Amino acid sequence: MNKRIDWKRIGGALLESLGQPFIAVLISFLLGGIIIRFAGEKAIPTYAIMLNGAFGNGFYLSATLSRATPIIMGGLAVCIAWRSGYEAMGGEGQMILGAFCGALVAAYFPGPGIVKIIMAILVACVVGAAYSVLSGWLYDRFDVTFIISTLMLNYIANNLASYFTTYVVKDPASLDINSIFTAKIDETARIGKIFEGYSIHWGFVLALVMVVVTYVILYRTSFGYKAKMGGLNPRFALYGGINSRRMLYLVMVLSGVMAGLGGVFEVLGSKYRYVDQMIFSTAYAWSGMVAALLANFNPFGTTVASVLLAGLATGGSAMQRGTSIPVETANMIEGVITLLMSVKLIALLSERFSIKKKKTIRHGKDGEEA
Amino acid sequence: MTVSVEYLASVFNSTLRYMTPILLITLCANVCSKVKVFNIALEGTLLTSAFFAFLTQYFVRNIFVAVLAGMAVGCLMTFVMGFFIVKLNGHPMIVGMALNTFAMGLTTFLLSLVFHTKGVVSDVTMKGLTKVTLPVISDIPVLSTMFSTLTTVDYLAFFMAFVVFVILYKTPVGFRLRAIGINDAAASSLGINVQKYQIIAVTVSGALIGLAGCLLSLGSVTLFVQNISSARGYISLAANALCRNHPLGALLSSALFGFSTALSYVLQNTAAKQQLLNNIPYICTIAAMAIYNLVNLKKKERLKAKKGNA
Repeated sequence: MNKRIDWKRIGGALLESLGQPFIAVLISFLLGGIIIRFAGEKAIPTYAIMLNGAFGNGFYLSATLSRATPIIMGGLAVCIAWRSGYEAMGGEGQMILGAFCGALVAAYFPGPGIVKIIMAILVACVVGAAYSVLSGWLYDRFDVTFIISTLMLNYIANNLASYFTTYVVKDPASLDINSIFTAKIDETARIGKIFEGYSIHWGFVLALVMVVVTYVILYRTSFGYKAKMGGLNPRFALYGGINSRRMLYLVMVLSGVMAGLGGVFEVLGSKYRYVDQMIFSTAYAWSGMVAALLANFNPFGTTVASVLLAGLATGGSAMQRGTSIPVETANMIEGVITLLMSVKLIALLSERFSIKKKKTIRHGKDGEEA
Repeated sequence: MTVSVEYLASVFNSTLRYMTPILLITLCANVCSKVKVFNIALEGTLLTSAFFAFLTQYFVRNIFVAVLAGMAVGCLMTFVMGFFIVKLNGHPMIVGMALNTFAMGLTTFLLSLVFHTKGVVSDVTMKGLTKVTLPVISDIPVLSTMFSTLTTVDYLAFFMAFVVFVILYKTPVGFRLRAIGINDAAASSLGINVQKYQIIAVTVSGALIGLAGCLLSLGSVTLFVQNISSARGYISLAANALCRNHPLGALLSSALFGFSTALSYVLQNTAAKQQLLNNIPYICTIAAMAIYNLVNLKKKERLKAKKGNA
């Protein structure tokens, strides 16, 4: 009797985990449909164009997965830091510096292509980690909260990269004043495409490897356990003999490495140079953060959410090409989905109903007693 | 480079003009964190209210209605945020990020729908906020530069700092609001409807951001450009952290940001490059917070040492 499968419970759990995104997506696409009608287009064909432009065929799918690569890495950086209780949002700055320094190393470091690639990746890791540690140090030494320091450091990183790209290391081959980017990386020093003619590159595979690595670190090592303890209850962690300062810096290094890698993958795999504002204007790190928050800092969930967010962006640009609807509509839909995902809709609803039920039962009993 | 008094006066003037929007947003952040609602949607709220104030003025051509519209939109945005965070128990970070993304999308979408552009929209025939000419001061050479081209809302911003201070620290309502921030369970046990107070406080404080939005799109110049808020919301978050949630402290911390922004524009005419100068406010933020905390830490250590000796 005890071994009987509790279908009701499994159904409830499924409903809770899948129903929530389903309702959120449904409501936001309904709202988006109204907006699209308002702008003078038919909703369903527009969505068809959007879906096709995101996942419709191999070409679009590969564009989406390629776009998802830096988002996944930014998400992993957030997973590591936030799960350990450090609400750092510096992924953007670390990604920018990783991309910028990686692009320079890959373009100018002497040696064969493979050496350039390895050096670029190493430098990006070091730079990302260092910038991340900087915010950790500000927190540790001066008690500057992460939210403030990382936000400011993001802008500083973008401005610095922009300055150097414009005045110091601008591509000497480019004659156009308006195109601000560093020198193009040799074909030998690039991360190759997985399929010829498609934009998906091996950086995506490397990102998936990093997802597994992050999962193992966070869920299968004592480091991950300690980090989680520190996040849940710093005092208890201290009581348990965990050196919180050491944990802080280790977490910051790991998180910075992930963000830096995200930047260098984007440079070596798809842009082949650092273009001014390339990370800042695309908001990869912010999307990654949203993905990680939605997935409750689970690396695998973050990956799925990142791909969906990337699909929304590539689908949005397809929509802009195919209809009169601007790409920003996708931003609005993303905003509403995120907003609705932030609350446990189904849990709230069922709670409300069960409270009502309980109340009626209690009333019944009261009635009997009286 | 010769520095004349007139020149310094103009720096003072631009400091005032850059500081007032940040002051208003900081005051909103102030109220929100007083009632324990972490507001990172400042940026999106600012953007939408700036846009809708501009849009209303474009169609209605009545500055009073436009300012009201800006304030109403500000309230609406913060209400949505408050409702999702307080009532539905959403993660403040996700809710805020979602609203910022939504605001960016909404304003750009409507910009291209109404004005058929994604860049700058300006209309020379449109009137902005009323500029105040002070009676006596406008005749004195240096002082007139110092206070020129300030609008009614600029002056209102300084006034609002005192209003928020009085409400929070000198009225029963303010006492309850602060009680919620210090210990919501205790406040609740005193019979304060915590959620109601939180949502109302957050919603009303949105009007302050609405005013700041009007300053951006209808202030010294009447124009709207995509992402006009340009990180002022985030900077105000820092300004609020710097003034330790005190409305009168907000005057000082927003003045610091106003000055550093003014400085970056003043130095623009020299050899220094724009991208580097843009960093001044950000570096100032980190440095100011670090110094403040360091001084505080040292003070505490000294107190501890004294106690130890005694």
